[in-house]
Amino acid sequence: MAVESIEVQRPDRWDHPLSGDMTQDQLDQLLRSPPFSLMDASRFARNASLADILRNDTRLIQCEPGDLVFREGQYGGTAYLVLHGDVRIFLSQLIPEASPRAISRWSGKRWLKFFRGQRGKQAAGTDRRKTPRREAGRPESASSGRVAFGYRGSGTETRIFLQDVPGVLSEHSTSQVGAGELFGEMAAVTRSPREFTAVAATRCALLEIRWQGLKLLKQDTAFRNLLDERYRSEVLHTHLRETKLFRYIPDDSIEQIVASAKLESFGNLEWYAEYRKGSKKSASQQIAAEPLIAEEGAYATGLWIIRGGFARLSRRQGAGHRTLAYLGKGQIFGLSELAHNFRSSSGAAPLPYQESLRAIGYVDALCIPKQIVNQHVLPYVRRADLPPRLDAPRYQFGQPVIDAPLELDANTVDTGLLEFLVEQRLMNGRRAMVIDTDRCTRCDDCVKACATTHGGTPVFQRKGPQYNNWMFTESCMHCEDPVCMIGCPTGAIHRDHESGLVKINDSTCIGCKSCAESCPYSNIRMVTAQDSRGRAKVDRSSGLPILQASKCDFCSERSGRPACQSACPHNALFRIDMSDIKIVNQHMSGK
Amino acid sequence: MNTQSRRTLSITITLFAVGVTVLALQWTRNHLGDESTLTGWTLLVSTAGLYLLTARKKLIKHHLGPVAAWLQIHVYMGSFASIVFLLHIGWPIRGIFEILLAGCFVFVAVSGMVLGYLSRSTPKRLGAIANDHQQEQIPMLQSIVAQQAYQEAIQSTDFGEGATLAEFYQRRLLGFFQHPRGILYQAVPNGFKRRQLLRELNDLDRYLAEKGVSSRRALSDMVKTKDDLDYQSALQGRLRTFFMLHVSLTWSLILMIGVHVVLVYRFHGSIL
Repeated sequence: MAVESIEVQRPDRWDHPLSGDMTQDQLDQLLRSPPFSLMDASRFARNASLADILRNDTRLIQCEPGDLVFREGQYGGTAYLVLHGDVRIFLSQLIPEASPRAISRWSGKRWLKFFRGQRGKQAAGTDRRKTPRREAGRPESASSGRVAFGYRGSGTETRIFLQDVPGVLSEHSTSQVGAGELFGEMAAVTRSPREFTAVAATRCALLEIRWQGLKLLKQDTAFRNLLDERYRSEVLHTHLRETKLFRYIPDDSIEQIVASAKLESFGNLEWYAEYRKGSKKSASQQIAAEPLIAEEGAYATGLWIIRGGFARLSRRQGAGHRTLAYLGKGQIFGLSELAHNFRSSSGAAPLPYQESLRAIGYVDALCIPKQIVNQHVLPYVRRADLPPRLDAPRYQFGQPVIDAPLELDANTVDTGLLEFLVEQRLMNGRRAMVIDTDRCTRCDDCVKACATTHGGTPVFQRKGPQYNNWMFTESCMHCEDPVCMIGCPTGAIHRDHESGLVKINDSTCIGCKSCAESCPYSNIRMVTAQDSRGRAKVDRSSGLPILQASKCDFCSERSGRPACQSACPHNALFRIDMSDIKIVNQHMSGK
Repeated sequence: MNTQSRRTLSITITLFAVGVTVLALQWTRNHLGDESTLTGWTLLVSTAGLYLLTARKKLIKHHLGPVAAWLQIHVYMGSFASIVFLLHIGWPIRGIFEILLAGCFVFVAVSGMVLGYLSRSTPKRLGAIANDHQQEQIPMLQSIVAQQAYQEAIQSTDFGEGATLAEFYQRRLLGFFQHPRGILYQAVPNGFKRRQLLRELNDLDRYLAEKGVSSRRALSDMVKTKDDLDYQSALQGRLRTFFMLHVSLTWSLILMIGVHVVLVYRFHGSIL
């Protein structure tokens, strides 16, 4: 049977500009205003000129006082430049977090709640600290907590606004962003959730820049400097305030910490290429190749806070290294040693780092020097928040190293599994598909369900790396750090603002294969693009099929569990956040 | 709810349902009612309930809860239906149609139980094999290993160590590599043949020199690979066959139940 096809024009980089509404006058005006007027236009490529970038990768937004630009916890692939007006960034949490992670409609807990008459009261009495901020939900009613919201506009132009702007501003600690200043760029560039809420304090005009454009604009030195300066002045302050350890520290001490904190990056942002090369190396060679952030036995010179990426916490064991855990965003290294030294008598020899910290792929970390920690951090940390004293340290200056086997408690993830997860970089997955092969009958009902939900073609394969009875299938894991997004020239592969799912916009995907080639797990495949009638799209000029990236979309069109998981008759398949070692432990320990 | 408490709850509900049915039967008997009608309709409803799993599997796009939950309902409802079936049938069973119907029911129930057992035991046995392959890929892999074995056996004649391996291949290994395993093996996969062939191959070492031994080792590895593939294929095939039998007979069963109900009400069972 001949396959029906249809000839179309091959899609191009800027076929779908961020907004098609920008007029030539507006563009000229932008080019005359800073920072664009200060840029060296000759630094940009001829096929991606500054004017082209502004025309296609940016859009103008008019905000009324109180309009929410974005919310803390949302994912976003754009940054904002204030053209005129005043935007406020909330340093404290503006919107109370939504109810904790939704309980499955079919879970026993839900039924138990039903019988206990607790339906609808689940928000009460819950420990909100356990809910990650990125899970913060959309404000559902006109009033959420103490802050009242309203809605204006309709459809895609709907805007949420604060109803009492002066009142809210007076109650919250905010930072002002004025004309010519940029905000929201960190979340866009690092593909992470927004760290704060931004609200228009006055009537203002903003230029929204999608991160593909931002990347191109960073070719200009002045613009790059603007970004760096902005990061140190504002983002760092917000980030420290958000860290649990720093919550009781007075403002002047925070200022001191910000001034002395060192921002350091380890490894390569586009680590997938190195990983592919290095995946054939032995475990010890892989560890040796990982950039060392802090080494066991060395002076504890500072407190490390992971800002992005993952770091391996390890100890020397015999002739190799033993992975103890992996640390992700917001996690701290070196506190035990510094706290121990701080509490010890002044004459006692200080303890060195007891473990090593290495960058897995790429790590963005913040180092606060020991003196600053002793002076501005530890005096304000509650005793309960401090780690216990190190009674039997492995490393002590002037003492032999105790090379005894590590005693891991029963709740710790099996070391072999931990090493496997780190070696395969699987800890990056926030919704990794895992199959328990001790339960899986290989009926392929999951694959069939996936095919049924995706027009006859499954978007995952029931195969992949395996450790013991755990198979990590070749299905998009909706990574914590989705490196597949780095090279996408059109932004077709993006993160959903609310859920953080990595999605592909079929209409803007130009089939460049960048995402498929950069996915370290080979979980993105290129398939022939089809029109709504199922006909294969063929390039009009070359006659070659037009390709499109295809991957698991977590069945985001249907609510609840994805089809594959629902269809498994033996509960062998589940989706799991591998970035959280506690969750991994809950699901996968004890086997 | 963990597996243990879910199982306890399900068994309790099933036993409760059985208890209620037995009490209802007793009550009907004491009031000179028609016991067959009571158990018959209970059986019909519970059997009909078993088809909900099939329906759920077809309705993938709808939010009807996980299939695993429906399978649990199916298992316990099936157990209940089997007990009611024993209460319903009279002994001895009279009439060819009723014997066929009862046989069909028993076969579906037993195949369901076997399927339950196989669903539990097969994954662990499959997981014990080094390389776990998809069923669809196995014939291709079998063909590749058969080709490799043939090449190895042919090449062994060039070593100047005689035709021991080639002769052995022709006599003992050709069938093993080129043909599918017998029905008995498909029904009860085992390692007898593997062990036997490996032992015989080992015994050839005394007639081989260095290159021949190396070639023999390669052939032994291929025997292991082929046997692993056969083993996986047999395990997965057996599970699928039982599933097919179970599902296909359920459709026969529903037809026969329909006819049975019509005959009972139209002719009061007099022609059966």
